[in-house]
Amino acid sequence: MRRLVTILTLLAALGVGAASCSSDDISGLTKSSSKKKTAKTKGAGGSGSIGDDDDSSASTRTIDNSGQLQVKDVVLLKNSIKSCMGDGMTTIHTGMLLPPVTAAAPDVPAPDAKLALTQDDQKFAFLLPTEANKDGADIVDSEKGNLVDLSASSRTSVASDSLTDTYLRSLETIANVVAFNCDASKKECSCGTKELARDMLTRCLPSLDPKTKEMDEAATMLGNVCKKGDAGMRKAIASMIASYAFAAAR
Amino acid sequence: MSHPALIVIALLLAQAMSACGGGSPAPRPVAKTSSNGGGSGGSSASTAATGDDDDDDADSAEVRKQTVNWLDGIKEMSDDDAVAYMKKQCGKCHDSKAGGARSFWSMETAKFSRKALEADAANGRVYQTVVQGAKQLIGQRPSGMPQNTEKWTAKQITELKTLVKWFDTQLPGAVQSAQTQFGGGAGAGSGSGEGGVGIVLNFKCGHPSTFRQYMNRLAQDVFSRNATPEELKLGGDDPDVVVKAATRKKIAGRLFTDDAWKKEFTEVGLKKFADKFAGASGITGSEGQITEDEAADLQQEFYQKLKREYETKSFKDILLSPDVMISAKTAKFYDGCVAGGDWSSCAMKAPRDSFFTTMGYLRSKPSSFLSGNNNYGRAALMHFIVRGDVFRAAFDQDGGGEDLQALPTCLVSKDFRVEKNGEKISPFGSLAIPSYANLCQSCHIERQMAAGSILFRPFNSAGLIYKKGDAVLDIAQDKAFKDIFPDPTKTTTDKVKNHPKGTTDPAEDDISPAYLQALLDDLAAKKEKGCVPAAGDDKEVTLNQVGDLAKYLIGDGKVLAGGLARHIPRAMSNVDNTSEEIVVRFNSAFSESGGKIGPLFQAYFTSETYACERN
Repeated sequence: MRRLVTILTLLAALGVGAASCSSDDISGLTKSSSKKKTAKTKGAGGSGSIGDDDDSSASTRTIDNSGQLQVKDVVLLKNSIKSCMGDGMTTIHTGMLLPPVTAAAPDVPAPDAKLALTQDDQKFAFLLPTEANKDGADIVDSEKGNLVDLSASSRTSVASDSLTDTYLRSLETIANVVAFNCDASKKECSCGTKELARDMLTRCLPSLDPKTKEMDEAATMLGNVCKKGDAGMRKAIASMIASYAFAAAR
Repeated sequence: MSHPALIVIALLLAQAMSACGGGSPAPRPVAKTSSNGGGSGGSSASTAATGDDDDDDADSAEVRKQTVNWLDGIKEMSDDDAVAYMKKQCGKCHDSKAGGARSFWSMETAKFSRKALEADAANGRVYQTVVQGAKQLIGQRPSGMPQNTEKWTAKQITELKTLVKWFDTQLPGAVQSAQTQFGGGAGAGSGSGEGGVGIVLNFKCGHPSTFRQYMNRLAQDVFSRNATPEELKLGGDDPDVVVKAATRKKIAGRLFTDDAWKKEFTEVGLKKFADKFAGASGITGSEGQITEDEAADLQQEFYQKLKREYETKSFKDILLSPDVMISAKTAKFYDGCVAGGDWSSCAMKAPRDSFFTTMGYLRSKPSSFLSGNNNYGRAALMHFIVRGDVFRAAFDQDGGGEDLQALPTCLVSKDFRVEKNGEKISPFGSLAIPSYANLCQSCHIERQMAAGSILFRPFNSAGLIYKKGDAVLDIAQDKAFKDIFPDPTKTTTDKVKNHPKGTTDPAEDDISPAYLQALLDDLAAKKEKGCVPAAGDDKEVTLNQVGDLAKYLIGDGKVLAGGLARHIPRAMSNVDNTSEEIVVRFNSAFSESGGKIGPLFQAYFTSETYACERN
């Protein structure tokens, strides 16, 4: 019986973050990705027989209800972030917003811009100010159009909820907002040791077995990145939220 | 600004869910012959679950069904042979691309498979036509298929019976659907309760989820959140073992026994279902008639009804009830209704009479008798609601042979309207469409589109009732009316004509505003009416208002289980298919609960299908 989950840990070097991880980290984790784990069937009644009756008698039938990887819709995504990182973590704050750009000189921040691109607390302004992206708004609501909104789908069809580049890019933006809202003092943001990182992964990815080797490796990796100061903590958290694993539903 | 400065690592969850590898995570019905069926007389429902769920060692939904005597000694076709036979025999007419005389059942021959047939909401009807073909019955409804089997040789009939046997053995959900729609009287396979060889079907999932996966999926589907650590312990000490049937039954039952879960189910899961079922996202404001605030309350109309009644009333009664839930903002839409509290119940007055004439239903599918759609969308939607059946429009297609069947005499209307665009004529009147081709009659007569279009006439596109002389609700104020008669001083139009003389006679009548008003007035006076014509043993049914059609379609209510077997997975899990197991389980749960919907949610979340890995 082949089942269960392989966690592929992909190191994606984006922006300034690349310096945070060595190539050794990358190769080590990539190797583990090819391993698969078989689901346990222990316990009374053990269902050990399930899937074993592959006798090809004409009367053995298969009903196919499989689908592609489904991603979280906006409501589930919002609730998942809340249970993972706590309340208020998807709220946009002024410090996230890039300075307004003048029409006359689009590459130059306006003189009255309140924020510099880099701040003392290692936080970066990264969010383009728009009508939706403003102080106090919720980034999931702001990104709703790029995500999956089950409540808006018609009654005779299902919403397209496969993983798309658009979804992932939007999730990255959301992840950055969450990470920006993280401070070392916040309990849910603590991940600077392997144990803390494992706690975070267990809490945030509850459909994955935390006892697998892949999760162990992921916890090590997350902890290693997370322990490198506030910036490292934010990088680690943003990466976890923006992952396929977090995007996946059901 | 392109991208995030913060992101470094992306954890990629590989599709280990490919777990089910190459194949699909699927419950598999395992058929075994049993010795207990002979002469038992079996119940007509014949597919009652056998309660194996209490047995931890039997992770399956076991179904017992009876075949009927007239198939004794007939061998069952193999899957491959059945699919090939149907492609050959049915594809000649039904193929969506090359079929010669297509009808209501559009068959994509190239993609046709057992799986496609299982998921097809029309499979019960397909089965029934084959049964009647094999029995060489003439004049029954639906017509026996393939056509003209009364002229077939004994060998051909025997081969057709092997297909019926295949349905009986392998597609019990389709057989049950046929029973709920057509009863057992006309020889519906296992529905006649004649007893026979017993077949036991065990649905088994080849690659079941762990409890952790199952619990998390259920929490996401029902509560729109992840499972909590406490919930992950509900299955036992180790959540990472395969979830068993008994555990699933316990967890699904908890939705209605644990106060906190029940509250959350009612507020989140039930609403998720109700919103999808009612098409809430499509209920919008209408300029000058419904404000956006009022529309927001109308979106909740069905949910409030379901929340109030799902535990105490059958789903049939909920849909057929003349009572509607009203708020302070929506009471004004219902004659004589006064809001009391946040939401209260109020009895609707004619022509409103059921869920299908509530503002929510009507506004979710805007149409009117003045528009080209002529309320066909609303009538077709009734079939979707009741049976999960989606009709396919057949514009610009070969409508079939020249021997046009006469329209039923009990269907009374003078609506033969056609829209003219130069030389091109597009029929849209209630009787105009079925007067053009037999293909059109398959939906417009056999599936009551003509009757429905007549019965929905009193309602405008916003769902309000036309009222002569009213500043807003007079037909002359309707946008569609103004499209027909842009110049209020004129009483004729080149755009729309009435064409009651038959397709070969070019003669046309002008229509006038008075003619359109008469279509309304004559319905109120019962001078126009819909009907379901008599056929075989079935008597004629007269339809004077929408509720009459609803009652006819819903019948004793059992048919609703087939529709819900499509609606519930779609609403709760965003999946656009169902399985034989779910259909069978739903029929059984629906029957045992007196037609209440709560047990269907339990059946869904208990099923092997639901417990299978998804990816």
